[in-house]
Amino acid sequence: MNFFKTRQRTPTDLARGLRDNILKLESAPPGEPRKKVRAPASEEVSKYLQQIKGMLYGDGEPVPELFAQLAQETYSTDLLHLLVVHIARFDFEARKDVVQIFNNLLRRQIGARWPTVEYISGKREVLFAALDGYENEDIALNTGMILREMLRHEPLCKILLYSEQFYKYPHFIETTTFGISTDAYTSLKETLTRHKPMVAEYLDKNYDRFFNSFTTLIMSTNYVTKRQSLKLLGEILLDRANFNVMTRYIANDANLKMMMNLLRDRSKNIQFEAFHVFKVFVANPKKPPQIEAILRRNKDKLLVFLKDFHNDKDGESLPLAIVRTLINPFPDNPIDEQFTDEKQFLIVQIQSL
Amino acid sequence: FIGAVKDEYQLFSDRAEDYTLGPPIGFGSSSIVYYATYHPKFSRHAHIPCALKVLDLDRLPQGSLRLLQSETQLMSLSKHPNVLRVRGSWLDGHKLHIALRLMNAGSAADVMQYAWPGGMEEEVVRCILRQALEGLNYLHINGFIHRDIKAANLLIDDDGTVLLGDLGVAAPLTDEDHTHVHTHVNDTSKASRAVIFDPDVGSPPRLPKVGKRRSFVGTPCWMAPELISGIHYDSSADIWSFGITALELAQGRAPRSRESSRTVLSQIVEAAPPTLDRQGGVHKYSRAFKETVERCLVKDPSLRPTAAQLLQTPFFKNTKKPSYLVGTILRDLPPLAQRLERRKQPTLVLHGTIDSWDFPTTLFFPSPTQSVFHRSRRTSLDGR
Repeated sequence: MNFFKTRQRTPTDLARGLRDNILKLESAPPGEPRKKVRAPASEEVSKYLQQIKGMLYGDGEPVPELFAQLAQETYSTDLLHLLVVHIARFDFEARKDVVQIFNNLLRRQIGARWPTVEYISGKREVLFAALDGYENEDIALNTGMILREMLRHEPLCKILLYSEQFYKYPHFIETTTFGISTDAYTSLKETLTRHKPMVAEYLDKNYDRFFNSFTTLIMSTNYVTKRQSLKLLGEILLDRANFNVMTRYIANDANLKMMMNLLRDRSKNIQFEAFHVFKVFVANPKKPPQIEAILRRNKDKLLVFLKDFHNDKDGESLPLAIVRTLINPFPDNPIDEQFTDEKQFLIVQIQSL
Repeated sequence: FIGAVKDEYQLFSDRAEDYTLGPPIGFGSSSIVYYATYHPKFSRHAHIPCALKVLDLDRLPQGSLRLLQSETQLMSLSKHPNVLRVRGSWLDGHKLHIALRLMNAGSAADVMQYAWPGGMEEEVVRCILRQALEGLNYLHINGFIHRDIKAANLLIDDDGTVLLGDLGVAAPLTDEDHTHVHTHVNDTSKASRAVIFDPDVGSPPRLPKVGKRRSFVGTPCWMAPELISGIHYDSSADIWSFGITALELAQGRAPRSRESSRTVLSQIVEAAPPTLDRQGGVHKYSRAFKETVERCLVKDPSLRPTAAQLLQTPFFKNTKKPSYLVGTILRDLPPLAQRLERRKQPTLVLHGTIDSWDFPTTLFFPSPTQSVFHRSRRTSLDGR
C-alpha cells in the first residue's frame, strides 16, 4: 500500500528525518518562494508521518522492538512537542496522522508504566500546546482530539487542572465557532469528570476560583454553552465524590437565586437542567437559614410554579423514548416517572417549610 | 496520504450576513434545509448556491446535541469528493446554521422513490455504490465509522457526484463513545440524577472500552447483526449496511422494510442474511453483483471485506463515471423543491402541546426505516 517505501527506514531515521523537516518548515525564510522550501518540506513531513503511523499501527502486526525504539526516539528528539506546535503547517490529511500517532503512543503500556504519559508529565509544554490549539480554528479539532487522549490519563489531567492554563477554557468556549466551542467544552467536561477523586480534591481546595469561573459559563449568552455547562454543574454536584463541594455549593444563597432564575428561562431545556440543580437545594435535610429563608419567602409561588412545571416533560426526546419502548416495553423505572417523583418530593418539601 | 484528494471544496464564511435564505428543500424532525446563496461581502464572485441546514437546538435532547457535535467534527475533518463537508456554521440564539454543498438531486432514496420505485438498473446502482464506497473507505482509513449507511444518506448532485451525508451518528473509533456515556447516564439515571446525601453510596466507576463501540445506532433495516446483539462492533458494521443499501437500490426498498421494527431487529440476528434476487425484479442483475452483496452480508463481521478490498474487486473497478448518472437517472428529474412539495410532511411534534391530539399507535411503532440511536443494553461485562 505504501508507495514511498523505497527501503525500510529505521525508527531513528524516521524520527530524526521528521524532526529535521519540521524544522525546515519552521525556518523557511519569509522571502523565500513558498514552493522552494515549504512545499517540499511539507510533503516530506506527510510522508514521514505516514511511515511512522505505518510502523505504529503495522500493516498487519506492529513489530514490538521497532515500536519501542520509535517511541524512544520520539522522546529523545522532542518530536511530540514539535508535532503539536507546528501541526498548523502540515497538510490537512497529515494532521490526522499526527492525532493517530499521539493516540497510539499515549496508549502504550509496559507493565504498569505508561512511558508516553511519563514523558509528557516531565514535558508539560506538550500538553499546554495541545490546549492552545483551540486558538487556531484550522487545527483546533485535531489538537482537541490529542488533548482528550492525554486527559484520559490522570497524571496529565491533574497537571492541566492545577495549572493556570486550565482557566483558558472559558475563553476558548466563549470565543470560537460552534464546532470548536463544543469541542473545547467536551475537553473541559473530560477534565472535570473522568478522574473523580482527583477532581474532587481540586474543587475542594480551589472552590472559589473554580466556581467564579464556571459561573461565567452558566451565565453565557451562548445558548449551547449555557445549557451544557448547567448540565455539567448538575453532574458535578450530584456525584458522590464531590459531596463536600455540593454541600458548599448549596449553602450559598447566590447560587440558589441563580438557579431559581434559570428555572424561568425561556428555553425548556435550560429550565429542566436548572431543576436538577435546584432540587438539591430543596432536598438538603440541613438547609442553612439563608437558603430556607429564600425558599420560605417564595413558598406559594414555588408551589404554583412546580405544579405546572414540565408536565409534558419525559426527560428525553420522543424518538429516544420510542426506541426504549421498543427494546424494553416494561422498564423498571421509566425516566418520566422519576422526574414526576422528584417533583412531587420537592412540592412536599416546600409545603412543609 | 492514501485517501487524500486535492481540496476543491472551498470554505465559506461563518457570518450570517454573507448568506441569503431561499425556499426550504428538506424537512427533518428538528431541522429544515433551505436553498441559500453565499455572497461574501468583499468578493466579486457573485452568488454561490448552497444548502443551509437550520437546526433548532432547543428541540434536541442533550444526547443528540452531542451527536450533532460529532457530525460537524467529522464533516470538518473530512476532505473527500464523496463526503459532505461543513463549509460554514454559526449560532443565532438556539438556532444552529450549517452551510453545505447544495445537492440538487436529493438523496438516492429520493430519486428512487420519485422515478424508480421498483429499483434501479445494475450499472446505475454500481455507479452510486462505487462512489459511496470511496467515501466510506476514506472515513474508515481515518478511523471513523459512519453507522447510518442507506440510500437516504447518499446525496446526489447535478453532475452525478454521490456524497455520504448525514454523518449525524458517525463516530470516531479513537475518541470516546459519546452515546455510550450519555446513555449510561440514562440507564442508571436513578443513581446519577438522584440526590445522594450519603457520600458513601454509589457504584464503582466503570472503565470505558476503547476502540470498539456498543451504541445502538443506525436504522433498523440496515443495522448489522452484531450491532443489534450489543456486541462490540467496528467499521465492518458499515459494510453490512452497505450491502443492505445495494439491495435497497436494486429492489426499491430495503429487505424487511414492511415489517415492524421489532421483527426486523430479531430477524437480522436470527434469520439468514437477505440475498439479491437476480431475475425476479424489475431489472436483471449479474452474478458478480449478487456475490458482492453476499460477501458484505456475512454475519461474522471479521469475514466481511473492507471498503478498500471491495474497491479492488472487478465489480467496482470497472464502474462508469459519475456523469453516467446524469444521462440515466437525473435526466428529466424535476428540481428538488418541486418533488418535495408533493410529499411535504409536518414535522414531528417533540413537545406535546395541549391542543395536539395524542395518537400513541403511530408514535410507539416507529418505522424500521427511521434512524435511531440508543444503547441496546448494558451488561456488567462492559468494564474490564
